[in-house]
Amino acid sequence: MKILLAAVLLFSLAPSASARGEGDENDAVPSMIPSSGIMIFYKSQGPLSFVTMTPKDRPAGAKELGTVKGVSCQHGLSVPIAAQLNATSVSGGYGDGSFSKALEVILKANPETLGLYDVRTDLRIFSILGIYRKLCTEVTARAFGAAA
Amino acid sequence: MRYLRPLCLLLTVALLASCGLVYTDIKVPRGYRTSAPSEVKSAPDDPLVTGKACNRSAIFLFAWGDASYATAVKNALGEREGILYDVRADVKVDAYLLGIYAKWCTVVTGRLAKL
Repeated sequence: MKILLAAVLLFSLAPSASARGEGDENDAVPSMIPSSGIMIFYKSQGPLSFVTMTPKDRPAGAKELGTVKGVSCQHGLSVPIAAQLNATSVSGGYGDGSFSKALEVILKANPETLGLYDVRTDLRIFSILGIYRKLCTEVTARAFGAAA
Repeated sequence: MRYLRPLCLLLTVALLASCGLVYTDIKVPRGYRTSAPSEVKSAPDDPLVTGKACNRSAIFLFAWGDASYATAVKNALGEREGILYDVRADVKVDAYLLGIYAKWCTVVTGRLAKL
């Protein structure tokens, strides 16, 4: 029992490992909606890597457009087959939670946008009873447009 | 004892998933390519600012909050207009009573340059 409690305590530190920045390393970690049990359908896109601009990369005289935000989401469904704790489930995933889609949303809302810098990317995790899950990619950045 | 194994399994899964088994609505940081002093209009007297954003979970069943970079940076900037550089991002975890209540925060510290 003590070992089990120690393991639970150890695992409680696991969330700190889930935050992974995008540094200069070569590894790119995709963030896909998880699928469990018997997967019957999966058609989803998620973020992998996005090497963004810094203020230095902004062209001289570019018009400042302020802070913009784009969100793209993947959805997943996991339905237990039996009313048991260890029962298997049928699952599926769909949606476009890619960086491309999030940037498309930003461009649609701000057609003047030429580029983004000071980019922050976050994930929104939404789940109800583990049956319905939503994983969204949120891109928040400063935008610039053509010189005025 | 019969129900202890599945219960522990359930708790472990909940902790590993860093979310609530019944309801989860959290935001976690993914990436932030910050600026170096040479990339912004930096000055020696630029103030050092800190912003915090947190997720919380209770009784392994419910998890909520916003520990995103976007919110941490927004909190660091406050009402000021500018851009952060020389940024350090840290994680602060507070868990009580075997994690029955837990708070997981993203802390962003950096210097604030004018745009």
